Amino acid sequence: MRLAKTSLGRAIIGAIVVVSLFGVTAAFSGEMDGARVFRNNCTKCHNERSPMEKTDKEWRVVVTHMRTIALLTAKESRAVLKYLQANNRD
Amino acid sequence: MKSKLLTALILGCVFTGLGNSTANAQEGKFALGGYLDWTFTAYEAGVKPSSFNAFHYNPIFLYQVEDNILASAELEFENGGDEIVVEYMQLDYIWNDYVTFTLGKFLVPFGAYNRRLHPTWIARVPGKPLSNIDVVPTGWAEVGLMASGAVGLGENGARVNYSFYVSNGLEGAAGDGIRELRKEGDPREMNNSSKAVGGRLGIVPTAGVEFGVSGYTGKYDAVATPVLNLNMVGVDGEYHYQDLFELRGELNQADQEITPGQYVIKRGYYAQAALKLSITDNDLLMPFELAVRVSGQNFTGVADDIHEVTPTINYYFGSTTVLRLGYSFNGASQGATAYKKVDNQFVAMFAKGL
Ligand code: HEC
Repeated sequence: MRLAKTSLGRAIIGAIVVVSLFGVTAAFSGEMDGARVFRNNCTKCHNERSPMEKTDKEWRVVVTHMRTIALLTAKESRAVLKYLQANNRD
Repeated sequence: MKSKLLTALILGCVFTGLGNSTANAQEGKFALGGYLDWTFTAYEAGVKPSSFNAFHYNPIFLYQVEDNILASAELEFENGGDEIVVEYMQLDYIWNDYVTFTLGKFLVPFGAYNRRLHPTWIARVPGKPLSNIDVVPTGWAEVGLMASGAVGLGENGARVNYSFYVSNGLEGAAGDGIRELRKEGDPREMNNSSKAVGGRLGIVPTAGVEFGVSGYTGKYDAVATPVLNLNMVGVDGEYHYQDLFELRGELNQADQEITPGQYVIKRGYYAQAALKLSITDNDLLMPFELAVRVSGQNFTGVADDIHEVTPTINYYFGSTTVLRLGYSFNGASQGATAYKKVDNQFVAMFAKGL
């Protein structure tokens, strides 16, 4: 394939492999503090969205959306989802 | 146009219908987002007529098909419906904790502005920074394949994140303005079948700080065997003090080949600061925010250098409901010599994030 032959193509494939390996070997340590993840991340781009705005199920969808935009780690996404679901009306 | 509107309405109805139905296996898999805004623009010397505009109504439909699969689409109704386009429509497949694949038409993660900040309820100053119009385009979506993800580096919020993509790429006539090279409607290759590659690498050294470097390379001339290169590089950075103060900016450069071997270098920058007056603890000042953006573009002699400074006062009726009052002081200079004033502009904007 032409892409793989260009040096940029090779660099991209290399980077994906390196990041994946790094990820797989990264230690998976205990629970994260969801409130802290919320404070540290959820006002970086836009103003705070209140946990009360959405139901548990809606937060699940929205946090997946934010995970892809804000590039949160999997652990951060899980922790912030728990925090949002624990602080709404549901 | 009529058929587009009809499709949009049907999509909207089906979607809200599904979202509301309770006795349905799909229940709880939907969410809506998006934004809406209204503007009034006036020019100091009247180069253009002053005008109200129903600028955007952009609903976003989110459908979490499975735990690790999200389908999302943003429908853009712009300028009172004069333009109706699909801003993005994509499927995100979370492969594992570190890699998500995105297939479809996605907003390009070049810098922070295009993917993360341009919606008007988010951007704190009305109008786009000059680094993100004709140097790197905004509202820039590509159809292709992207891999993205993040890896945590300890407990204080540090992480690295990445996005790499291969896509059809920008396409147009030799020497066209870069904003015109976006494929706003049909995102398929028109003539040029070469693919573009690009990406962004972000570093969050500690919570509240992020730096990114971005790159893009492709051939853009609309012919079967394209030869003209378009390469872009950029850096972006941001600093936040709690949710009260932020400072951010981008530096972008595009090297556009106009005829084989002859390049035009286009550079742009922006810096923006915003301070929420809730920092004062004064009840009257609480809903206000002061923001200022400075931006410029330099086409290395091919066109006038232009720059702007836009102080803005924001009044928040709620966290996602805002009235922005901005005044852009616009200027231009040819090379390093003559300076000429370009018409200044006042913008009142009401924006609501959904
Ligand atoms: C990197 C920037 C960024 C960060 C960080 C961020 N958001 Fe967002 N958020 C956006 C953008 C951009 C949109 C608008 C959606 C679009 O344009 O696709 C949005 C939209 C939303 C919406 C509206 C529904 C939707 O999904 O579109 C909610 C609710 C929301 N964000 C909550 C959050 C929460 C909670 C966090 C923290 C976990 C967060 N955001 C962090 C950029 C960000």
